[in-house]
Amino acid sequence: MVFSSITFLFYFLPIVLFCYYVLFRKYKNTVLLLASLFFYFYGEPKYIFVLLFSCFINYFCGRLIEKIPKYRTLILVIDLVISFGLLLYFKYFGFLVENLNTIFSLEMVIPHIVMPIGISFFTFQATSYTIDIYRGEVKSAKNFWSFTTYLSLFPQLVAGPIVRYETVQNELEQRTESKETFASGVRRFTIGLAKKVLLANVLGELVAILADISVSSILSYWIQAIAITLQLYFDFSGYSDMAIGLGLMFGFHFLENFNYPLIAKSITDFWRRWHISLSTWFKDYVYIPLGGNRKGIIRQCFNILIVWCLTGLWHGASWNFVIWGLYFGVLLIIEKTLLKKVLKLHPYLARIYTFILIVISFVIFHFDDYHELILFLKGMFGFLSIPLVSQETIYYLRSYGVVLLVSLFAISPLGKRFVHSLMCKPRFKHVIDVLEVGYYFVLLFVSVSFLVDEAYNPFLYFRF
Amino acid sequence: MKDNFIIGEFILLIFGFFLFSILLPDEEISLSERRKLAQFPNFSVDGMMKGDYFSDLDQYFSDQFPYRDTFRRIKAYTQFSLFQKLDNEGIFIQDDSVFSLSSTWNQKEIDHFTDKLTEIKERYLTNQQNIYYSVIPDKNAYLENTLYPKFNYSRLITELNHQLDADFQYIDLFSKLSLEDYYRTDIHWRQDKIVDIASYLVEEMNHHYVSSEKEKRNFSPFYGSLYGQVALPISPDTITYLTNDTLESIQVWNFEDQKMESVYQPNSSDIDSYDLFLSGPTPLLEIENSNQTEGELIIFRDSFASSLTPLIIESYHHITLIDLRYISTDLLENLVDFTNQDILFLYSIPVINQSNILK
Repeated sequence: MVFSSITFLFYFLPIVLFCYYVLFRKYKNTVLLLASLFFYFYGEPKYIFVLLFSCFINYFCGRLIEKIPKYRTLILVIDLVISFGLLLYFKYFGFLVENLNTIFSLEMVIPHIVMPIGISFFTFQATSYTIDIYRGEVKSAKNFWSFTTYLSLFPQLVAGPIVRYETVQNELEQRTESKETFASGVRRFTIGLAKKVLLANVLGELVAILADISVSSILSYWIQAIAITLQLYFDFSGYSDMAIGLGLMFGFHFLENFNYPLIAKSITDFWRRWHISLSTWFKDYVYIPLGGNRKGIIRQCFNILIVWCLTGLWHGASWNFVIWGLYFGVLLIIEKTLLKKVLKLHPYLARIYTFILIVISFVIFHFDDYHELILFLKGMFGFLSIPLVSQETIYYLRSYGVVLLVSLFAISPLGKRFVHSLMCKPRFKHVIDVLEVGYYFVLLFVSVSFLVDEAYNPFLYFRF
Repeated sequence: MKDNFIIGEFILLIFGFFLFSILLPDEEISLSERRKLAQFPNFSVDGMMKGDYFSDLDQYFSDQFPYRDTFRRIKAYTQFSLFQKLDNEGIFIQDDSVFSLSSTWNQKEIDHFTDKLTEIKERYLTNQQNIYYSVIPDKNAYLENTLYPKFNYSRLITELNHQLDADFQYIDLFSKLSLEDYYRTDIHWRQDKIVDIASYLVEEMNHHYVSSEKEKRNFSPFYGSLYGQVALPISPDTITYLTNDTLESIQVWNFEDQKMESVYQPNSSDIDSYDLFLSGPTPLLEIENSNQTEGELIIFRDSFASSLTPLIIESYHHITLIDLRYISTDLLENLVDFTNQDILFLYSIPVINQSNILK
C-alpha cells in the first residue's frame, strides 16, 4: 500500500485513526502494531514472515547482547550475518550470480527473487538497533511486541526515514498526542502528498514522454535530466514528509530526512541534506568504524570510496548504482582535497556547479542499462547528431514549463521564508491564517483529484 | 483555532469520503470514460496471498470513488488553468473540438505494418487482384495551431511507398479531408462528411461508384472516445448516418456473432455509440448486395471503415471486411476465399503506428 493511494487515504487511514483515538492508551500501540502488519501484508502478503523474522532475530539478539556481555560481540556478528544475509539473498543474490557467470564464464541459473518491499530500510533500522545496544547507547526493548511496533511502524516501514531506536524509544512507551502535533502532521502530510502527486508524478510523465519523442534534441535531454532529478527529489522527500506527518498524527517525532538538498553549495553539503537518515547510518556504522578522517588523508579517501560504493549498492543491485556511488565518492574526495576553498569563495557558482553534478548523477541513477546511459550522456553533451531544439521539445517545455518552474522554486526555502516573514507582521497574520487553512484544503483536494484520475503513480524508492 | 480548521478539513475529507464510498451504490459503467468499472472482488485465500485480491481491491476503491467525474474535472482544470499545460494526459481542446496528441513516430511498428501487408499479399493474394492502400490522417493533421506536434504524414507515405512493392497502389486521402470531416469529441470521421471520399476511393480503384439518394438520420447525444478523456464540459456530438431502402434491406453476416445483422444498429452499445456502424469492432463481416451483380472488394481495415463502407456497399456485389486486430492472419486461410476481388488496405495512422495489434 502506498500513502498516495485512495485505499490508504480513504480506507486505511480513517479506520486506523478512529481505532487509535477511540481506544484507551494501553491499546494504542496494539492498534499501531496491527495496522502496521496489515499495511505490510497488504503490499507483500508472503513476505510478512520475513519482516516478522527480522523483528524476532533482532529483538532476541538485542536482549542477549545485554544479558550476556561476555558473548556480545559474537551475538552481534550472528545478528548482522543473519540480517544482512537476508538482504543479500533477497536483493543481491541474482546480481551476484549474474556477475559470477560473466567473470568466470559459468552457466549458473540466475534466480529471479522478488525482493520484499522496504527490506533495505528495515534491515538498516534493525541493525542500527543491535549495534547501538552493543555500544551501550540504548537499552534493549523489554517487550517483543513493542520492538515489532518500532520496526514495522507503517509511516516509515517501506521507504524510511531510517528511524533509530533512540529517536522513538521514549515515545513508544510514553507519548503525548496533541492538537498542535496532529495539525502539524496534517500540514506535513498534505505537503508531502502534493509533492508526490502534483509534482513528482507530473514530472515523471514528462520523463517518460521525453524518452519516447520522435526527434530528440540536446535541450530535450537536458530537460529530461532535470525532470529526472526533480522527480526523484519530490518523490522521495514527499514520501518522507508524509511519513513524518503520519508520525506526528500518532505522536511520534521522526528526524528530518531532507533539507533542501538541491540548493546545496557543494556535493559534501548535498549529502548533508539528502536522505539524511541513510548518510548518517553510513557515517556512524561504516565510515567512523573504518577510521573516518583520523588515519590520514589516503586512508580517509579509501574510507570514502568504500562508504560510497556501499551507498550505491544499497540503492540497488546494479552496476549503475555502484558507479553512481563511486561518482559521489570521487567528487567528495576532490572537494575535500582541492575545491573546498574555491567553492566557499563563489557561493552562487558553487550552487550551479553542485546542481549540474547532481543532475548528471541522477542520470546515472536513472539508467540501469549501460548503453542507454552512454547514449543519454552523449545526447546531453552534444555528441549525437541531433538538433539543439526540436518542435516537440518546445511543445513539452511550454506544456510543462509551469510545473518545472514551480518545482525549481519549491526546491528552495524561499516560499516558506516569505510566508514566515509575512506572518511576523501583525497586519498580515490573520490573512495568512485564513489563507493557510484554504491552502491546505485546496492542496489536499487537488491532490485527491490527481489520485482519482491517476495514470502514473510509482514510488521510486520502493525498489530499495 | 487555525489548527482546529486544518484538522477539521482533513478529518472531514477522509472520513466523509470513507462514509460516502460505503453508503453510495456502486456503478456498473462509466459513461464518460467509456469503460466498465471494477466491482468488489471475490475473496480467495490464494488470491490474497498472491496479492491479486488487494490489487483488485485498489482498483475497486479507485473506480468506485464517490464523485469520480467531478474529481477528474478538477484535475483537468488544474492541469490546464493552474499548470498551464497544453494537454491533460495527451488530450486537449482546440476550437471546441477535442484532440488526442499524435503518437510519436515508431519505425518498428511501421516496419511491422508493411511486413504484415506483404505477408498477406504473398500468402493469399493472386496476380489477378488489384491491391490498393490508403492512410487516414488523424484529425490533428488539420489543426491550425502549429504548437502541437503533428505526425509526419508525408514521411509515412514515403516510407510506405518505399517498403511496399509496386503492386500496392497508393490512394491519397490527405488532401481530400479537413477538420470538419471529423467528430469534435471522437477520433473518427463523420459519415455524412465523407461521401466524396467514398466515391473518390471507389473511382481510384477503377470501379464505378453508384450514387444514390440517402436520408439523413441523427443519433444523439454521441459522447465520442475523447469526450470522457478530456473530463471538461463540452457539448456532445450528433452522429448523422445516411441510409435508404437498399441499405435497410442489406444484411451483414457477422462471423463472430454467427448471425445476419443490419448495416446500422443505433442501439448496439451503451458504451460506444459509434458501434452503430456495422456492429462496431468485429473480426470479419461479409456484406452481399443483391442489387449489384458485379464487383467484389476485400477491405483490411480498422474502425474508420465501419462508417465508410455503408457508403460504398451499393457499388459492389460483395464486400468483405477484415479487422486483423481481432482475427489472426493465419485463420483467413479457412475463412476467406481470395480469388479475383479488389483489395483495399485502409488504416488510420494510430493503427499503423501501433501495428503490433494486427495479428
